[in-house]
Amino acid sequence: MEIANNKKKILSLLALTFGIIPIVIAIMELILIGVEAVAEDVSILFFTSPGDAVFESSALDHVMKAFVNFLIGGIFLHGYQKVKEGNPDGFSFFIGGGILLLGIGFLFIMIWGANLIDTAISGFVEPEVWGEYIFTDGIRIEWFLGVGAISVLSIWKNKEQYLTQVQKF
Amino acid sequence: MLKSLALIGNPNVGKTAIFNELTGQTGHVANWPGVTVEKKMAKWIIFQVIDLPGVYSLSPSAIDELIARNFIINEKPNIIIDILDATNLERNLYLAFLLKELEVPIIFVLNLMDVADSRNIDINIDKLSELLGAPVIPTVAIKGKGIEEVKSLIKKAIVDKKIAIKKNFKVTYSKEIEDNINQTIELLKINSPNFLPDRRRWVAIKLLEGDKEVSNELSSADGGLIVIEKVKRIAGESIEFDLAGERYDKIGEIVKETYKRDKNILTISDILDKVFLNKYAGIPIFFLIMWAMFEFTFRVSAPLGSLIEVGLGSLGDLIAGSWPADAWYTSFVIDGLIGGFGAVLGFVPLIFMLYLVLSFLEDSGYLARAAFVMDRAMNKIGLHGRSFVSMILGFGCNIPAVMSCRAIENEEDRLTTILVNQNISCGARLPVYVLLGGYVWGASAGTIILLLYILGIAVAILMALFFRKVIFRKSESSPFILELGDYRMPTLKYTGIHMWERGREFIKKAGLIIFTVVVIMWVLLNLGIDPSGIYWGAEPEYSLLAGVGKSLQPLFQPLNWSWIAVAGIVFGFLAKEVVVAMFGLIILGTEEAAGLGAAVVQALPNIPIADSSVPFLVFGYLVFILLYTPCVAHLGAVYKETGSVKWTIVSASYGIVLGYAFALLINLIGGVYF
Repeated sequence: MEIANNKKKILSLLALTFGIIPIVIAIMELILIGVEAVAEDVSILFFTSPGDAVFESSALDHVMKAFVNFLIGGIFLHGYQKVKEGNPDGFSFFIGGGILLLGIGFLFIMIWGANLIDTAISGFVEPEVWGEYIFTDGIRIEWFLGVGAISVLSIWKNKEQYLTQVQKF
Repeated sequence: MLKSLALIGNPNVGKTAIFNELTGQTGHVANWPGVTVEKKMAKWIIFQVIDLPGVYSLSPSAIDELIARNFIINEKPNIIIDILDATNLERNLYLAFLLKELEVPIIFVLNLMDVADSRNIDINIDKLSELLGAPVIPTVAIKGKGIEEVKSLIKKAIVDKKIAIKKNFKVTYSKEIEDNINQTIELLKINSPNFLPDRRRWVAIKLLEGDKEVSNELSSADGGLIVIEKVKRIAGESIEFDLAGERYDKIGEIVKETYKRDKNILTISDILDKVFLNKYAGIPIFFLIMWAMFEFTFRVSAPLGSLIEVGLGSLGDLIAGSWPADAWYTSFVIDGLIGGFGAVLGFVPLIFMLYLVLSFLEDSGYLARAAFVMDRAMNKIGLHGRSFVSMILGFGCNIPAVMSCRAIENEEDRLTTILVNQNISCGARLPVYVLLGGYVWGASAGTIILLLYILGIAVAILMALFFRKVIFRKSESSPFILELGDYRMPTLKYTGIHMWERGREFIKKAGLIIFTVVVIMWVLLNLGIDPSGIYWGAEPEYSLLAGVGKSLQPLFQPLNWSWIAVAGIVFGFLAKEVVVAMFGLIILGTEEAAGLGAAVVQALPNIPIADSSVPFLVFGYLVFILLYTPCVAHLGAVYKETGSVKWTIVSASYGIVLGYAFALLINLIGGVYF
């Protein structure tokens, strides 16, 4: 099996795009740790407020987000490299990365929904809280789900167009 | 009298799904080799249906294979259903041949036909049936397809006796081997005529193969030793391999005639395995999935937990407002049941969510991959990869995980795996992590809980290394073979059943053990001692329960734990959920408690510490909860599986020592004493 010549360009472009964007996000997450540390008391990275017993670590949050994005970006970039060579593994990495994105997208949707319900149960109804949930988190979900859905569903569905079977002699 | 029907097959071919479909039971079905650790039984019309462990052959060296073989020989089931994996016929037919040699009535079920179709695998079922000399029925057990045909055939053959299931099908070998078999049969007829007379050919083959189990049994029969001695002279050095080779030749011929596969088909399993089993990406993806699992468990269960809390709170207020405040039963219901038992009930959704994700990962086939990925890492330090399979089972409960070690052939590997499994964090410990972590780490709690799980895995690996290299002085690791079935989209039915099976155990435990312990703790909390003797209505600080914590508290003085923290550890020996119940009982009974998590965190240190050190003290406490004995029942399982008081004591004591050392170290890092 090989990647079809007429699909190499589009597949490699998509893989490169889906690879670079998460890497940029990951780097930004790491930079944010430094920015927060400089702009505020360093302990804000580990505590909700300096000296507080509640250890809600924004640093840990940034590191985890960076890890997730680096991993997904890495998978797509590895896929890009292989696609360029015409190696069918590139196709596998592209679809695999897309499935991971889909999984994470669904996870965020579930968390998002659970947060909304929890907020409602707690009787918390300030519009800005709801706005934050609906717009900030919603956009993140759309990104993950959108990319995942495009890469997995459409390309997997038309896999015969992307892969050619090599005649064995 | 019931007739017996045995289900047998390679691991992960769908035996348990067929067992469930036949009997209407809800046994645990997973896309994971080795689900059936012990044989399971249930009734179906006039049959006792027995689900035997998944086996590749019937050799006596593995305990599960021996269980299956002995059952067939000793219990003589009326019919055997051998389940074959349609996607991997060649490997599955080896067991079919071994069963045929036992000359038992067999029906073959060709399962996973849907997966075979998706891989463009074409099987000539009629021809296969003809070549095997037995009926072959295609099924998709997980969707119930083909099950009616299986039922109908069994009824026709055994109940109505309308068709005959042949049992005299013979696997014929080359002339040289057949001569050896016939000579051995003659020896048996002459010298040990009463030894398994209806299975002489099978006994002859096993003796030629050098099967120790059969030789041992024959040696105690009349004339058995003579036969064994003479067979040694007949059998050549390589006859065992020759027999296996000829079986595979015949299997190859059958496969050639009946099985066609399009090798150019790219399946989703091929694709995912390229990524998930990748040398570099495999382990990070495993951690990503673990992180996603805890984020899901922790956050998605939150609203359900809140609902239970709100409900129990309202119930408590209602009772407090209408029942007499100083009556013992008011205290029992509000402090004991709502405060103690209710604190555990609040975590039921959390436990169910964890089991839902674990079931999903298991049923999808990913957990088997996780074991494979970790095996590569573990093998580098000389550890046996099969150990990790048991470790992963420990995420649900450590007791079945300890029992699953029976499948490990090597005794030292088995013992090592049993001893290190306790470090894998079971579901019962999760409520304690969430109660304390939820307050201390807020939105980061999911990540911190993931760190605890990773720490548990790391300690298990290091302790396994210690046991192997230092205690057993073993450097070589035995080869690890793990079958990776296809990824499957888990069905709502089986994932739901699977989650319910595990969650039900938690509810049963909560209903019986935890309820009983809560009642005992409530009594101890209300009993006090003064110079005049024991009295009722003691303040928590001066109760017998406090006495238990205070008497052991000096041992934990270096960790700066209060008597409440120590009492939690003591009662946690019974079951880890009891820790949460005890906190609820003591702390919700006091007026200043605003929220349980916050109040417990305030109550943990013996001597007040700086706020910034609190997370370290709490983390140390949670690490101790992670590393010491999971529960008394776990110790019972260790004793049962090792048969040794010594190893049971080692299991209990090393966990306490490690937990203590880690907690002390974390306290030092966190400046708890400065």
